[in-house]
Amino acid sequence: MDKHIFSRWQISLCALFVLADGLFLPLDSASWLSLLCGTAAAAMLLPPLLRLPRPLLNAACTLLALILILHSIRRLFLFWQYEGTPAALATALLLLTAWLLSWRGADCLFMWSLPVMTAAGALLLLSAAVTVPDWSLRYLVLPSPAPFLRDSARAALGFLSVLLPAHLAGNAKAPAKGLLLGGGLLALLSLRALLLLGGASYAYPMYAAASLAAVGDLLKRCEIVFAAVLALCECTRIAVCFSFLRSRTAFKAAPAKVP
Amino acid sequence: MKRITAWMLLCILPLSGCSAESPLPVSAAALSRTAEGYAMTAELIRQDSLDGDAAPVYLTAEGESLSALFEDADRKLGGHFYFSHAETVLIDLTLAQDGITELAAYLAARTDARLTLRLVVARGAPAEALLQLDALGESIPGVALYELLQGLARRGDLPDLPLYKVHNALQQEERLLLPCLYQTEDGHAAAEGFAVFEQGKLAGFLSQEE
Repeated sequence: MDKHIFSRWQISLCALFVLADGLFLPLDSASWLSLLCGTAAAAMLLPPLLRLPRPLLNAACTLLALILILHSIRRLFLFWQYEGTPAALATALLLLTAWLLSWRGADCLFMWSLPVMTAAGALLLLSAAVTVPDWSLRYLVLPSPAPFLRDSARAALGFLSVLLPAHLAGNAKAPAKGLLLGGGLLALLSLRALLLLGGASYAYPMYAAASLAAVGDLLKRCEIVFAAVLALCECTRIAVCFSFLRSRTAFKAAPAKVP
Repeated sequence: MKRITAWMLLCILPLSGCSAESPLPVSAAALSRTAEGYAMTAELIRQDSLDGDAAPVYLTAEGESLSALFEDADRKLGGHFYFSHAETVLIDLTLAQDGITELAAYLAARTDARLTLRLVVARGAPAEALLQLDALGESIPGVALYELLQGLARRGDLPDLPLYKVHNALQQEERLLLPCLYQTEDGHAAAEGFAVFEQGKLAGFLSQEE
């Protein structure tokens, strides 16, 4: 990495990376709490993971990048199919955008993430805030210990994918803060969905809850903006994966130094 | 990076599904149970008059299941059954007695149905007849019905129960009260009393005072 990557850029990119899961979170009575605990656990595990031997870390991150790209393509395709959008075209456009984002290099991606995270965070918070009058606290219940621990462990494992941007940044402290920021926002979105929808089942509960965000009779069906913001986060996640893979390819293709 | 951000926004805009073309949006629908399955009368809004006025037209559809019913309506409009503007669904007594759990779950799962739409039970007359009664405040009866229900819910005369709350109550097998609609002597639709649902099926009626 040639240029210095400021902490706030690292925080923003890692938060966007984590928020990519926002559209696909399942909903149960304690999922928001599991997300919070999972985030905290993953933030604690991140620094020791970054101290793993370099070749092992590189191999793990390369594998992780490939898995995450395929995972993102699959879930976005299914979501767009459900939503009635031409799924193949939308996925192709998103991949192309992610590739263009990664083309300028990781430092540009980090720099770009700060204004995007600011806008995304503000829109997500606004989307949650306008639904506050409709929240029903009777849906809040104490979780059963065993499923709660299982869900927290699963969430922590998922959040550890932030290892990828953290490795790209070569730092653990700021990415852990980004993870906490993104995980906190995800927990808030999950809590919002629970307090609005209760225990009813929906294919995409976060998306369904966002559809209830309205400003009077003037502005309704805000779920499109919500989905667009989270699709942008998904695009950023794929761009991080592409960027990492490009950096590894460039490293391997570089000629060996003559002694 | 600015160009890429602009490109990104351009990519996202068409994904919203919004377009200038919205032929005959549905404003309300009346659903009933038949021997063969389900029947629906949907109120569509025609906006092609030269003087700019909107006028209601009614479409009937039938199907063995709810998905077949909506598929039939879609086929009759050449694939342009535009349900995302619907705000009220009138439930006929035949359907209320049979149970509305499946209906609420089906509507909640449809991407084009608003989770804020209101369900109301037709009492004393078939739901499709109540839907087509002359409205006092609006030229479109279905729109007038929604405004009536919305106004009464805001005043606290009716419980505020949009689709997502109904769906949740039915899934939790809670007791549910839905507003009733009846035909007044002067031929208009008015809300009065409640239909009580237990285990998703009509269990009786309550007056406004009860």
